[in-house]
Amino acid sequence: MIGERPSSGADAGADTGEVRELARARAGDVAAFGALVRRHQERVFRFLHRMLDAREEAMELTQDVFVKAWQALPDWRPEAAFSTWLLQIARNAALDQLRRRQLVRFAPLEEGLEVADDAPGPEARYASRQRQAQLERALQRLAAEHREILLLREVEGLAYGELASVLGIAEGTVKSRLARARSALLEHFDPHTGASHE
Amino acid sequence: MNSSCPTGSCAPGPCPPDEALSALVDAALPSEAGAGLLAHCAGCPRCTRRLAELRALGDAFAALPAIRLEVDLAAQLVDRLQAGAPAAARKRGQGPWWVRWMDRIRPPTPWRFAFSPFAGSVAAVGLGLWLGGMLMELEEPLSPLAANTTLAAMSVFGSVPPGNLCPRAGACGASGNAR
Ligand SMILES: [Zn+2]
Repeated sequence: MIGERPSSGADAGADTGEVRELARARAGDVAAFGALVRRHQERVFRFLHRMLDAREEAMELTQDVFVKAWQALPDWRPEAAFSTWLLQIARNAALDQLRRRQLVRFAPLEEGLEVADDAPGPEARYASRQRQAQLERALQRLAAEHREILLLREVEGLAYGELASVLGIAEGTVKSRLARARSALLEHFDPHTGASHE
Repeated sequence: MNSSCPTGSCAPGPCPPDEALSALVDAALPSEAGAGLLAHCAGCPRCTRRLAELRALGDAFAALPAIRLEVDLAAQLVDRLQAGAPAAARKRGQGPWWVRWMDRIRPPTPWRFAFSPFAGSVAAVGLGLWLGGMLMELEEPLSPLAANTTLAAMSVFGSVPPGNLCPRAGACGASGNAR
């Protein structure tokens, strides 16, 4: 066994139902597109939420991603996995949004990053929540380029080939960027203790 | 367990780059390359530590709380697309607070406008202008009338003080004070 992290493909779940829905949606069937939205909305939203660290914004952007996908559906080619293509649109939308934010905000975004202060409950649970919060905080401190590749790999489980196509880079670059992203994250976060390195 | 070093005292060789360890964690290396790296790590405390860190990072991601949408965007989107609204248009009632506020004061149709709070303000301003206009119209004829009244009142008094003689014949009228 070389490594235990599964390199699950993003489109392992692209079943015949989805293939049918895609064909109908491309022919202009809005209801079939709705079914596709239902299949992928959670994933697109989760990625955007973690990229932007803002629930409302992520929800709005998720809708925009699907509207863009609907408009661009005639250009979609079955060679590109639909979910990977969606993540590509989502990723571009997230970067645009982050750029817009930079125009209006000069301070680094810190909202929603505080460790929850409410009833700690059992000590172990509290420590685990602390660790999660520290990781979330550390992620927001990374460059968007590093955050997106880590989320797509570690949370969405994209394989290197899929990462290359979503990010528009070569597979070799995926490998090096991923290593740099992990290294950058480890500068802010100790995964054993959950301590953040300020 | 360093399988490539049965005595356990072999030199582990040069440390692999971080990139290789990162790919090892992702199972993205050919199996021989991966086995070689693991053999190195077994004899190298530094790489063992780094590999453990990278794996723990993966575990930390896996332990992140789930993020759920909790609404079905599909239903809203289907409505929006079926209504034939410009696809890129934003749905009413969504967006940041100021956009939603603008929606409230900017009615979508003239008919809905009549029932909007905006209509009251417009009506009040219109009424004010109309009443103001009427006053302006009234003021025009009022001014000469007032002037005439003043002149009539002044004419009650003669130009010659009482008891005085008329300076010349005919200078004082019959209704005048001279005689
Ligand atoms: Zn080493």
